Amino acid sequence: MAITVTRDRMAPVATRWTGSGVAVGSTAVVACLLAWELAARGPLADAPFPTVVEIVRSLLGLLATGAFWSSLGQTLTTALMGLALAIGAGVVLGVLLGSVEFAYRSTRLIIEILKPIPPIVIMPLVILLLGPSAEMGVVLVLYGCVWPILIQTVAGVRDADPVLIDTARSFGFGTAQRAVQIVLPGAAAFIVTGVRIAGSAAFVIAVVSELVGGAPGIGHELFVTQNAGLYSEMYALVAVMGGVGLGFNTALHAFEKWMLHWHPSVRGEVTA
Amino acid sequence: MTEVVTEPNVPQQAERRLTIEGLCKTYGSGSNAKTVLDGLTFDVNAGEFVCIVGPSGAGKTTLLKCLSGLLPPTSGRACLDGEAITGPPEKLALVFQEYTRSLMPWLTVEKNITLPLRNKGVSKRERGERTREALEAVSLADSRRHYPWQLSGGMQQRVAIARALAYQPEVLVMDEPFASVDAQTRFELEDLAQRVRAQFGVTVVFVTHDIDEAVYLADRVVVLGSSPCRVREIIPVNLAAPRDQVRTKADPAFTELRSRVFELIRKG
Repeated sequence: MAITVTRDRMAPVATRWTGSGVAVGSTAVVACLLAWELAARGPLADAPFPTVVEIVRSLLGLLATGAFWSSLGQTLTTALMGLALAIGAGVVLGVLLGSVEFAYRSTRLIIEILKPIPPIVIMPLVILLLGPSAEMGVVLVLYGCVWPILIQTVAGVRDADPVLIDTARSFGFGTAQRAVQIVLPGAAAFIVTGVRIAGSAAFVIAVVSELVGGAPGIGHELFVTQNAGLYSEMYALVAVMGGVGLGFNTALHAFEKWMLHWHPSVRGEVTA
Repeated sequence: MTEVVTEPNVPQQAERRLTIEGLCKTYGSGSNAKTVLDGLTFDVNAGEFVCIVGPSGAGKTTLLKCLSGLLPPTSGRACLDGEAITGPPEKLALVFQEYTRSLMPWLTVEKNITLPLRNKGVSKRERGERTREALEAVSLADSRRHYPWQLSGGMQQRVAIARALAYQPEVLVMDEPFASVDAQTRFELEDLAQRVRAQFGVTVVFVTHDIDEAVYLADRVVVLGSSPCRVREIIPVNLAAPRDQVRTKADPAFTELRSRVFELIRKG
């Protein structure tokens, strides 16, 4: 028996954590739902709080309609397109600003000023230009996502190893070859972190652009159900957003692991 | 045939591969100017193995950077086959001390070796052949699909050497290449350096702060003095080839040479 205990103690810490983490997390979720159900049936029975059972019923109803899926698709398209454009713009600009000292110095202040402005603040301007359209949502997501990616890319490029750069130069790599083959992969860990930060914001910004700005999508559905007083549908949509957000982050995490399989932070392997 | 005044020990018929003439490098300007290299002059013949030793901080790395075209000299010049070096020459390959930093961790061993060849426009088939040959020369044929960080330090440095060999340079420049590996690995790599020199007929410029290593490997040892860096003396090493870690190092001539180099370095 003693041996079993020892072995158990020696089991990888990470695995045990994840195992019990999921169990504890799920228990907490069930507890919250239970508390909600009790509150909605008891003290808050007169307030606009549907019970969990009602919400689940609405959710199942929603999942059966084509309209729901097309608005969810619309929102995801907006989020992913905005994120993709932000990655493209952020990485290209970041490499430029990171490698040209003058460009870096002259833009640093501008970036620091623009970065904290939330996308919702520029929404009126974008609506004026593009109307309450999906394009408007894409622009807002792009605006909200580009900063962390740009800043991380600049940091990663500036962090490039001078030995590796000299190695590449000694083998006759041109400027473009060094940027693409050496500097960019070397900055990958920084960039991917930026993408992860931006990615978790992308879906939220897409929903906000629909909820407040009126672009088509699941956020707009939320607005409609709220105004119509369809509270169980509204909370069903909120639950969907929570689930999609979780899925988004899980996907980003997987993307990070895949991109950085060689990086010390991911490979978790000790060299001989 | 010109008369060589500064180096009477160099065989007259040898072909000059590298010539360094009055090489100076000064960092900064005005009152902050710091002269690192002060008029270095020496030659390296084709196929020769020349070790450069000097006190630490003497400017060995600066010298190598000027030699390999990574850093422009302030005055004087370095020539490869009679042509002044103004940028990294195609006929020259570098091996750095920091193998963990000079190999790309996101590429496999094989891809690390082929990337410079691809950029140079070498055909796929030839890339494959050169990589195989280079990896066999450093006894790493089985590791081509591994990532550098999956290998030991000595193996990683062998990858860096293989990459340089596959580039098929006339001159192989090595900057303290074995300074970061353990003693046993170091001896193995020293012998490897000798083997590849013979096998590939390459000219080697080898910077080290290890006097034993310099005398053991070199045909000639260039001893540098420090602050600012000048050539103190060029010492021919006429030990029997191939060198052997036990036999060569037990040779009284070896001991005498290393004492001489040591004395020169101690005097700065």
